[in-house]
This record gives sequence, C-alpha cells and structure tokens, in this order.
Amino acid sequence: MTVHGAAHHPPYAELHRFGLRLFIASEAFLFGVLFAARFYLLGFERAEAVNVTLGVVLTIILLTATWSSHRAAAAARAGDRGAMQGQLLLTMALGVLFLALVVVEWSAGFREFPISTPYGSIFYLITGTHSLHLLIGLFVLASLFLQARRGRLGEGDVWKVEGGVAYWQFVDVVWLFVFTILYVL
Amino acid sequence: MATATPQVERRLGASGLPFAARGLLWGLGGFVLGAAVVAIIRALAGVGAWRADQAIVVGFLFSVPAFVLGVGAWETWGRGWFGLETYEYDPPGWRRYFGFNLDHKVIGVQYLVTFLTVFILAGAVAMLMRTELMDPGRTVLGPASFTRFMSLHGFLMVLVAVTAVPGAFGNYVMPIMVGAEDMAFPRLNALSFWLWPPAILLLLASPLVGGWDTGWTGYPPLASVNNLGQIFYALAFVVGGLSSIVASVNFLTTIVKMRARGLTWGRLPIFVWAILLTGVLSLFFTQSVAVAVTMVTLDRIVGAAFFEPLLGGAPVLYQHIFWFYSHPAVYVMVLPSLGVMLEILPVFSRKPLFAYRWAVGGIIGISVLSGVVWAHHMFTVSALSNANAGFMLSTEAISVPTGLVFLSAVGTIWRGRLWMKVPMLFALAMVFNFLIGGITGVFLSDIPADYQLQDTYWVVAHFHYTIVGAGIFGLFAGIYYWFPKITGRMFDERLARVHFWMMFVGFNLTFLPMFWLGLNGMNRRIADYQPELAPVNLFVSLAGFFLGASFLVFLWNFVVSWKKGPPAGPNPWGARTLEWQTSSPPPKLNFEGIPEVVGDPYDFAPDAPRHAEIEVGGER
Amino acid sequence: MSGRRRDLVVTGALWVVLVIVGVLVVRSVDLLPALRSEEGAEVDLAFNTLLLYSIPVFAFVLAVLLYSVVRWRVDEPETGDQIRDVPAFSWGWFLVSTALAGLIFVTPGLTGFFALQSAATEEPDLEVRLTGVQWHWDVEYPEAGVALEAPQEILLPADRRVRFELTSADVIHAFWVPAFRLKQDAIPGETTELIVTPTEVSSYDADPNVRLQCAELCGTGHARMYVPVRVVEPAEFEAWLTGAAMGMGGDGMDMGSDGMDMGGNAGHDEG
Ligand code: HEA
Ligand code: HEA
Ligand code: CUA
Ligand SMILES: [Cu+2]
Repeated sequence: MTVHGAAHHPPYAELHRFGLRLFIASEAFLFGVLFAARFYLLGFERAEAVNVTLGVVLTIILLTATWSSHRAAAAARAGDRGAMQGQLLLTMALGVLFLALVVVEWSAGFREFPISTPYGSIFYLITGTHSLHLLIGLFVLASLFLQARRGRLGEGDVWKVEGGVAYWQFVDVVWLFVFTILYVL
Repeated sequence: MATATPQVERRLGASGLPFAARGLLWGLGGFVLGAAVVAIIRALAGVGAWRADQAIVVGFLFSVPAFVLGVGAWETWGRGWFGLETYEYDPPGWRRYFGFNLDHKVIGVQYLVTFLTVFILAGAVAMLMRTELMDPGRTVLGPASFTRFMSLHGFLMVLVAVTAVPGAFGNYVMPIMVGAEDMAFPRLNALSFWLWPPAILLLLASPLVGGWDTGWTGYPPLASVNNLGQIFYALAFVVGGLSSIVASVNFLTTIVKMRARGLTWGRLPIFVWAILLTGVLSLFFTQSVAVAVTMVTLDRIVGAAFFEPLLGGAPVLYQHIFWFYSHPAVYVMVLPSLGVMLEILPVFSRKPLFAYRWAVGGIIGISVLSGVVWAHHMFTVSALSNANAGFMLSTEAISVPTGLVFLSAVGTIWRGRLWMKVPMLFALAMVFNFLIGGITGVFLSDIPADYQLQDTYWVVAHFHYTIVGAGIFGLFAGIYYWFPKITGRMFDERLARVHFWMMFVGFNLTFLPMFWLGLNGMNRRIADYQPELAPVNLFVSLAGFFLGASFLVFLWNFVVSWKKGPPAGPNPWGARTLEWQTSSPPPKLNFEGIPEVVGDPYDFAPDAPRHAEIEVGGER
Repeated sequence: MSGRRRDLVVTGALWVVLVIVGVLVVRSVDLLPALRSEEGAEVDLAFNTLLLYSIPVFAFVLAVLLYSVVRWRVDEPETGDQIRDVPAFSWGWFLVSTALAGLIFVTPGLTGFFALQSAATEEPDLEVRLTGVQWHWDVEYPEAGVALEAPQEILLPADRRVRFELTSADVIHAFWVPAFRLKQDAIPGETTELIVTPTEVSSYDADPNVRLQCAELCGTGHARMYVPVRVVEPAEFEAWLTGAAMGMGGDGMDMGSDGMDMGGNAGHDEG
C-alpha cells in the first residue's frame, strides 16, 4: 500500500495469510454444498460412461502441479528467482494441460451423459466450477510470474508467492474430492 | 510495492468525467464482449444464432469486472497484476465518492447512501403494492405486475437488510472502534462496494424484461419457466454474494488482526462482536445461495436437469440449498443492528453493558445454531417427517441465545439514567419490535401451528417485525447515532423526533394487523383477496402510507443537516468507544496518534479510567 | 421500602397486571376463524397454547421497558448505577428461557406433532386426488372413477376421513383450506398426502375460509387459484358422487373447464 500501512498492525504478509485462509475456508463450503447436492440428487449412482482412466491422468497431472508449485514457493523463500520462475512456468503448463484434457473429456461426455441428465448436470457443474477455480489460480500464478520477470517481487514479497501457491494447492486438493465422488464412487 | 508520487495520486480522477462514468462505459463494453463470445461459440458449435438469456448471463459476467476496473480498480490494483506501477485514487471533494477509493470512511458513506437510495426505491414499490391491496380486485396493478413488483420489493429490501448496516457502519465505524487506521485489505474493501452498482442497476432494469414472478425466494420449477427477469435476480444474487464474502474476509481479518494494543476480546465493543459473527455467517453460507441460483440458471440456459422433475431432477433440493444460506442470512440482517442497539443503550443509560459475556455468548450461540435450522421454512413440504421434529427443536433452541441479547438490553436500562435522545428512542423501539417479531417466529417454528401460518400474512408480519422492526430500526438508530461523527454536524433533533414517532407508530399500525390477516385466511403474495378482509387491508395500506411519509421527514433532515447542521464536536453523546475520541469526521488515518486501549468501553463511573489513550506522535 | 425494593416490587406488579390484561384480552377476542376439521384442533390447540406462553414473556420485557423509561428518564446526561451483571438474574434468565424453549418443544410441539402423525396413519374413508395446474385444481375421486377438470366446487362428506393425494402438473402449488387449518405442498414429480376430516356441513358462501386456496406462489394466477369447498352430509355426497360417475355432471353442476384466462376455478367477480 502506498498511503496506508504506517505499520501499527501486523505485517501485511500476516494479514494476507489470515485473509487467504478465510477465503479458502469459504470456498471449501462452496464445494461442500456442491458435493452434498450430488448425493442428494443421485445417491451413490454414477454414469458408467465416465472415463476413469482420464480421471486418473487428470489426478496425476494435478498432483505433479502441487509438487511443482511447492517447489516454486520453496525457491521464493530461498531467494532463487530463476528457479521460482521455472517452477511457476511448469505449474502453469500442467494447469493448461489439465484444462485441455477437461475440454476433451467434456466433449466426449456430452454424448454419453448429456447435461440434461441429473448426473450430467452435476458432473459439468462440479468439474466446471473446479476448472473455473483453476483458471483463477492460473491467472494468479501468471501474474506472479510477470511481476517476477519485471523485477517487482522483492525480498519482502515471498508471501505473495506463498499465497498464490496456497490457493493453487487448495484447488488441487479439491480435485481429489471431485475425482473421488464423480469417478470412483 | 508501488511508489507513486503524491502529486500523481492527487491528480487521479480529479477532473474530467468521474470514474464511475468510465466504469459504466467499460461495463457496457464488457457486456458487448461477453455477448459476442456467446454468439461466436454458438456459431462455432453450429447450434443456431442468438439466445438472449445466454448472452445476458455471459455478458453480465464480463461486464462486472470491466465495470470494477473502469471505476478505478485498474489504476489502483489491476496494473499491479502485470507488474506495473499502481496509483491511489483520492481526488478532493465529492469526486472521491465516485471512484475506487480505498479509504474505509469513504466506502462506508458510499454504502450508506447507495443502500438508503435502494431502501427508498424498494419502499416506494411497497407503497405501490399497498395501493393495489387497498381493496380486493384490481386497483392499480394487474396480478402479473403485482407479483413482479412484490418480488422486486422483497429482493431489494433483502439486499438492503443484509448490507446496509455492516456496509455503512461496519466499514465506517468498526475500524475506528478497534483503533485501526483502515481495514486490513482496502482494495478488497473497495471491490466489495463496487460490485454492488452493477447488481443493483441490473435489478432496477429487470422490469424492462417483465421482472420475475417468484418472490425473493426464487423457487423452481416456477423459476425455471418464468420471465427473463429471473436471470437478473440470479446474477444479482451471485454478484452481491461475492461482495458479501469479500467484505467478510476483510471484516474478520481486521477484527482479529488489527485491534489496537490493549483491546482484548473482553474489551471489544459489542458492535464489533456483532460484525465479527455476521462476517462468519456471510463468509460460509453465502456460497450456498450462489450454488442454488446458479443451478436454476443452468436449468434455464443450457437445459440442465437439477430441478426439472421430467428430467429426473428434484425441485425440493433448491429449497434446502437456498435456506441453508437464507436462514443464516436473516441473522446477517439482524445481528449488526442488534449490535448497534446494544452499543447505544449503555451510552444513553450511562451504564455498563449488562451481562456483556452473556450477550457475546448469545451472539455466538445464534451464529452456531443458525446453520442447523433451515428446514423450518419447508415444513409444508413434508410436515410430518421425523427430521422436522429436529428442526423444530433447533429453531426453538435459537430463542435462548437470542433471548440473551434481550437480557443484556433490559439489564442495561434497569437503574440507568435514560437520556432520551433520538438514537436511544430507536434502540428502545427495537427491543419492543424485535420482541414481537421473535415471539411470533416461535409460533412459526411449531409444526402444528405452522400448518396454518405458513405462507400467510402472519409470516409477512413476522419478518417485517424482525427485519424492519429490528434491522431497519437499527439502521436508523445507527444513522442518528453516528451522523455527527460521519458528517461532523448535528441533525435537527425536533425533526428527528417527528420521524421517530411517525415511523414507530406507522410501523406498528401497518404490520400488527397483518398477523390477524394471516390467521384469517389471507395468504401472502397475492394481489387479490377475499372481500371480507377488505377493511383491515385498507387500514394497513393507510398506515403504510403514513409510515412511508415518515421517511420524507427523515430525508429532508438528513440532507439539510448534512449541509447546514451545526458543528457537532468530537463526542456529542459522551460515549467512550474509540470512534468518539477523534475528530468528527476523523482524519484520514482516523487518529492523530496511536490509540492504546486501557479500560472498559462501557464504564461510565465518574472516576473510571478512559477506554483508550491516544498517544500523539508515538511509534505504532 | 428502599428505592431498590420499590423498583422491583412495582415492576413485578406491573408485570402481573400486564399478564392479567393479556390473558383477558386473549380470552375475549377470538383470533382464529371458525374451525371445521378434526385434525385442525391440534393446530388451534398449539396456537392457543403458544399464545398463552408468550404473554408472560412479552409482558416481562414490556414491564421492564415501561417502568425504566418512566422511572429513570433524565433530560441531561447523568451517571447510572454501575451494575455490570447480576449473576443470579442472568443465570435465572438463561435457565428459565431454556426451560421455556424445552417446554414449547415438548408441548405443543412434539405432542401436536405426534398427534398429527398418528392421525395420518389411520385408514381413510375416502380418497381424493388433487392436481395443481397453473392455475386451477383438477380433482379426482378414484374409488368412484370420477375425474373433474377444474371444477367450480369441491364436494366433501362431513365426518369422513379424507385422504388427499397431491401432485402438480407444472410448478409447486400448495393445498390450504383455512377453515381446516392444514397445509401441504403439491410438488411436480412427487405425491404428497394429507388427511383431513371435515367436521360439519359448510360452504364457501357461508364462510369464505372453506375454500381450497393455493398457498405457494405459482405465478400470475396464484391469488385466484382457489376453489370453493362444500362439505355435505355423507348421504348427499354419495348421491352426488354416483351421479357424477354416471353422467359426469348428473347433478346439474358444471364440471367442465371454466375457460377462464386466469384465476382458476373460482368465479371471483372483479370490478
Ligand atoms: C431478521 C430477520 C429474522 C429473524 C431475526 C427471525 C427470527 C426467527 N424466525 Fe423468522 N423469518 C424471517 C426473518 C427473520 N426471522 C423471514 C424473512 C422469513 C420468511 C422468509 C420467506 O419465506 O420469505 C422468516 C420465516 C420464518 C419461519 C418460516 C415460516 C414459514 O414460512 O412457514 C420460521 C419457522 O420456524 C421462523 C422462525 C423464526 C424464529 C424461531 C426466530 C427466532 O430467532 C426468534 C428468537 C427471538 C425470541 C423468541 C424473542 C426473544 C427471546 C426471549 C425474550 C427469551 C425467552 C423466549 C423463549 C424461550 C421463547 N421464521
Ligand atoms: C428490509 C426489508 C423490508 C422492508 C424495509 C420492507 C418494508 C415494507 N414492506 Fe415489505 N417485504 C420484504 C422486506 C421488507 N419490506 C420482504 C423480504 C418481502 C417478501 C417478498 C416475497 O414474498 O418474496 C416483503 C413483502 C411485503 C409484503 C407482502 C407482499 C405479498 O406477500 O404479497 C407487503 C404487503 O404489504 C410489504 C409491505 C411493506 C411496507 C408497507 C413497507 C414499508 O416499511 C415501506 C416504507 C416506505 C418507504 C421506505 C418509502 C418511503 C419513500 C417515499 C414515500 C417517497 C417515495 C418517492 C420517491 C420515489 C422518492 N412487504
Ligand atoms: Cu398455485 Cu399458487
Ligand atoms: Cu429461518
């Protein structure tokens, strides 16, 4: 902040971390409601046509991305800006790949379980909401990458990277639940 | 961190079109862009040309961020995402209210004025409704337009009720009360305000497409088949909901992390407690309503099957998700106002807040319980299912923590010295009104009684007694209490008293007879009723007009006193909380020094230590 | 008497007076309209019990409010007695209100709930199917094979247990006969039910609360989506039903769709 922040309050990083946790908790509620709706509507039913293999691939991609984002945060903490940018880039690439595969999956799915069926409705709503969050995560990571490139991320800004990564990892973890209730159960 | 020179900051938005106008322009551009995206996708997918509903949804979702960036978020925030320099928007004079200003005091005023305007508009709609209901048969509105105006009234008022008090006073007063110089996240704060204008404009435009028919609750399948306005309702709910969530993150972080030194939890003013728990409720439950209305929208625009029985969907699911939010929302409507009430009673009784711990416990208890009572709105879906007995129990249990607020209120005025200034009049009226509203709610929570009362004017009376009698009376209590702080001027006491008495009498005359109407067979949401009910309805309408007229008195006083009222001084009421220990209005960073809390906020003994010391020039 | 004592005594007396006045008022005015069903007695009992319970609660807060305003009103700010808490009072309040909430839950809550539940399991004498349609009710007496589309009137026998099976052809509607007290949603894709035993011969003309009123917002015609109900002697009902089964209108009643653009079954004249 420019004018604000004459610093009688805790460091901005601490505020940011706390606020982000709250926001993530709120988002968890969002997904909780969606998951509850899935069971209300369908019980434990699911469409046979769901491509479980693809689901496993998607899961692996995101787990890898979790790991690379973790490395990005570690690099930021260590002050290694080059490594951080590299890991951010890798994470983003995995995210884009994930989204591309979701598109593939959707276009196949539209034939097998169209949106006009209860399972289809729930499937596209949940995966769509998740992908939207992933897109936001991508935007955050891209912004961090750009700021780093332009030399605008200094020593004191590690929390920014940590925050972006925390959000990203939250979205990854949500995927594990999505995978479980849409592909496995 | 951006380092803009002060000159640049000053200049940003200081002349030319106000930023708000640019926001509208950008928003329009965003809308066109979104609509074009839909058209292109449809063309590529080969599914025929134009679908207005899809274009509106996507267009609006594009236009909101465009609008927010246009009002100044681009310069103050967005540039930073791309590693560019950012500037602060802080022009002098009236212009500061028309752009992405980061000062919580400016934002508080923006909220206050915006939602007072919405309140007056929605109230004017209620006047129209009461005109139609003056006698049975058609008076001024046909059945279709009555339903749509009723829906508009209900929804706009709900937005006022959940937003006005936390938006205006949570923003303006709360940070000062905790001794902070601003909110934790000033940019998120500005964002939470600037999400509202698109949502409100959309709702005000909804009559152009015929409005919507479902009331504020939006139940499918009706919501899936009626006018296009239903989509406006859904979009406004989602965007407004996002604003609430963002605002609660800010409130919670500010309260938990930014309290002045010495401001322990046990010394926290009760209004701050109320805002804290309101924040918790909105933070979690608002997500749920966004899910509900999104599902309806998907049913409409892409043929999803959530609530469509022919496709295997379940209409009742909507009601669960909706009320899972909307019951906690009724406490979002009332807790901040109860906080205002409990803030005012000690000051004008010159007595400590009675049973402070019990009151705090009550507020917390309400919040905890409010997540497990939602199905009391759905007793007539399947009244005799066993689960409903549980919901009856939890609903009746919530009377206990709510009662603790009353314990604190009556204990505070007992043996006080009641200085009957206008804020005090409003606070005392709230105790009375909310008692009626609360007790009549207990009737509704009883399954056998609810068989008769559900969806009748008993319910209408119940919730006007709670939302208006407590929520809106609390808004006006807060306005009169903090008006001198915010404007630096004193209002006209005589006119304020006229307003109070007209409002109090008009309110009770309007809504008390509605209980009788409900018992005697008048269901809600109707333009036309049995002729036997005509005399009482005529009486209600006339009382309603009298109630409406009270706000003309208020408006006159509000505007004139803001411009010309006599200077109020820093502490006209002799209150002790921190906002009264700085000038009126407070300086940009709220205090001329660093506040340190050393005593109780409500200790009015003549020899009591101050609540806070303000150390001038000290290091924070 | 010390000042403190006097404050308590006077407030207590005020409370007692208010309670007495309240009880008298509630006793003398009949808030509820005439009741014409057996099951509805539970509803009225619950309502009246709650009314009785709420009088002392309301009166207590009102008494403190009134007394304080009169007794301790000042024109210039003045320091009040610095009482922070009176633990006995606070605990008492908490315990009494908890007990009260428990009492309300048990009776009239659970007692009424169970009474209605057991009433709902008893064998009905007559079955009636109601389908809500925007904006009228279709009525079917399956045992007699009578199906009436948007009838102008619904006939029911007095003193017979009637089971209504409710559903909807489009959006959610709700069954409500104010004189019977009971209410139940009619949901598309689902069948819900409600058991009602009308107690006496009655008709809409004599009491407008004897009407089947839609009680869930269902669009433009919602207000007019009501049908007069006529409760007749069982013999008369049987005769009518047989006639209806034979000629679908042997009673000389208009059984056809009323052909109104909106406002359902009820021929409610509009100025
Ligand atoms: C600010 C808003 C607000 C508040 C605070 C409340 C508070 C309560 N409400 Fe209300 N309610 C609404 C707003 C609110 N409500 C709205 C908007 C609707 C309609 C929605 C729609 O359909 O459009 C509604 C509808 C509604 C229904 C559904 C009615 C129906 O459609 O059939 C029910 C049913 O249980 C209910 C119950 C209650 C109860 C038990 C309380 C309790 O919290 C009240 C507790 C307070 C007291 C009881 C008084 C003080 C207590 C004491 C002095 C202690 C001693 C007392 C006892 C132990 C009893 N409300
Ligand atoms: C904050 C909440 C709030 C507030 C303040 C009010 C205020 C009022 N409400 Fe309403 N109301 C609701 C929330 C609220 N309401 C909700 C949620 C519903 C349910 C909707 C649904 O079923 O879905 C509802 C429904 C509702 C109904 C039932 C409709 C139906 O079921 O058919 C009625 C009927 O009388 C009514 C009346 C009134 C009246 C007379 C006022 C009065 O207090 C209004 C006072 C008047 C004013 C504030 C206007 C003053 C201004 C002027 C006189 C100047 C006008 C000129 C200019 C344009 C400048 N309201
Ligand atoms: Cu059917 Cu209202
Ligand atoms: Cu509720």
